[in-house]
Amino acid sequence: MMSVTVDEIAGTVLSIWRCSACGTASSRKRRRCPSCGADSIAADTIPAVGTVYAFTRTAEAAFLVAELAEGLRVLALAPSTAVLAIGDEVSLAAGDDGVIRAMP
Amino acid sequence: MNREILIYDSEVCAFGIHTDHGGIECAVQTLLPLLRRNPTLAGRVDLVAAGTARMGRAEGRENGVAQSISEQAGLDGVAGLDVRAYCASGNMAVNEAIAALDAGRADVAIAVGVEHLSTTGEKGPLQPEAVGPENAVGFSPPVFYGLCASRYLYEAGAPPEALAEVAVKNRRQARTNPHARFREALTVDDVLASKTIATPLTLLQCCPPADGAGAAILVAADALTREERSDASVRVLGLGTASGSRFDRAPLTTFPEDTASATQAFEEAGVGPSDIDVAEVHDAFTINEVIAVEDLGFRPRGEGWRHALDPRARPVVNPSGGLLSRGHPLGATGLAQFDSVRRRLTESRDARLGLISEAGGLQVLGQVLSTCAVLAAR
Repeated sequence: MMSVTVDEIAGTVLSIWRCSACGTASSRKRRRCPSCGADSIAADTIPAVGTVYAFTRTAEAAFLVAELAEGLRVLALAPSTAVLAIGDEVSLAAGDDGVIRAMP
Repeated sequence: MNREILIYDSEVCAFGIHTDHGGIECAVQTLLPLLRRNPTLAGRVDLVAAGTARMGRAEGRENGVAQSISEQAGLDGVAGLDVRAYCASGNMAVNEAIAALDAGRADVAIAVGVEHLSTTGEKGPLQPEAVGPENAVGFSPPVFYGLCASRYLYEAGAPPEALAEVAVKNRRQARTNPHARFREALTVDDVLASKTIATPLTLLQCCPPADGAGAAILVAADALTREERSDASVRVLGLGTASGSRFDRAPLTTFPEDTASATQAFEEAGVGPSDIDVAEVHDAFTINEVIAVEDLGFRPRGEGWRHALDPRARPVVNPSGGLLSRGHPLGATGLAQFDSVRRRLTESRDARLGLISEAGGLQVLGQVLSTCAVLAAR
């Protein structure tokens, strides 16, 4: 889903895509911008910090939706023992499996 | 609508685990009584539209489900069309039948919805199509809707009991539905004490999978003879279909595609949410019904959870027990919804207008698609 950069391994940024014409950011790679219709979209990064927008726990794991800068919301995985509430700040990192994880 | 289109008659089978037959037989057993009691229309069928999401996995049959059903039902040579739209496959099959009738390409059409989930091995939680890396680490429909529920309760200031009340209400309403998989009464305590699936959702807040089928005969009213006119039929007033969008800015407490498809259906029908007497909506999880009540315009934002608490609430939502009680044989669900609303509109003087809303598919943080229909008593 996302390629890994040196900064991502350090846990400081996440890879995103940004429309070269209107600047709209997206966590998902698309060929054409849904906002302006331009078909030039380039890789960019965004700080790997966000706030917990939603949280759920299953028997095996916990998942959250993190709200990043520019209003982007991404799904992230957390350990099942993680204690997180809506509004908490979280640091995120993208693994080489393409999954974003909330850092403990 | 260019023509007056009728849901003329419909049937569903008992949803459950059908170990003695597969999906095609399930569909045929449901369709045959319809053909038997409507013999003149059975001889004039122009189209069979079959809605199914997982027959490929269940029976290795990726194509020709409609034709396989037609072969067993003795409908040789009739045009057949398979429709795949996740949980809304059956609803979309009805839409395709209506489109053919409205365009004058057919006068009599059959919509069938069928699924045989026990043969896909999905006796537990339904698994999504594994399209992204998140699926490998356990992301699934309950996880997505658990996230939605957590955000909803936070924004609305509603207690977890409010969600449980939806399961209690729908199970109470299922008591009179002989085709529902589960009909025993539940209490809020039962619901909250059941196994945690994805907080705040517990097992009894998640619809069970099932095998099952539903079928409907749809006709253009101008093609009926005087003898064929029927008190069991209801009129299609409006339809709408929309897809999800902007998945990385999803609000989680509303599904814009549900509002969009309903708005189209209301505009075509010339009615609004306050006119609806009865509705069947996508309660795959309790939170879905709460959000649907808001997205369809039945209650203001943040107030949807109060609907299940009000025994006199209008519209009556999921009178058949919903997916939570019926079980959810994906493609068959839409036909069960149409059957439920048709029965209420023809059997109760208090119900004149009905609505069906069904969503399908997950795209990480959003639903893939939604469809809505508005029906009227004649």
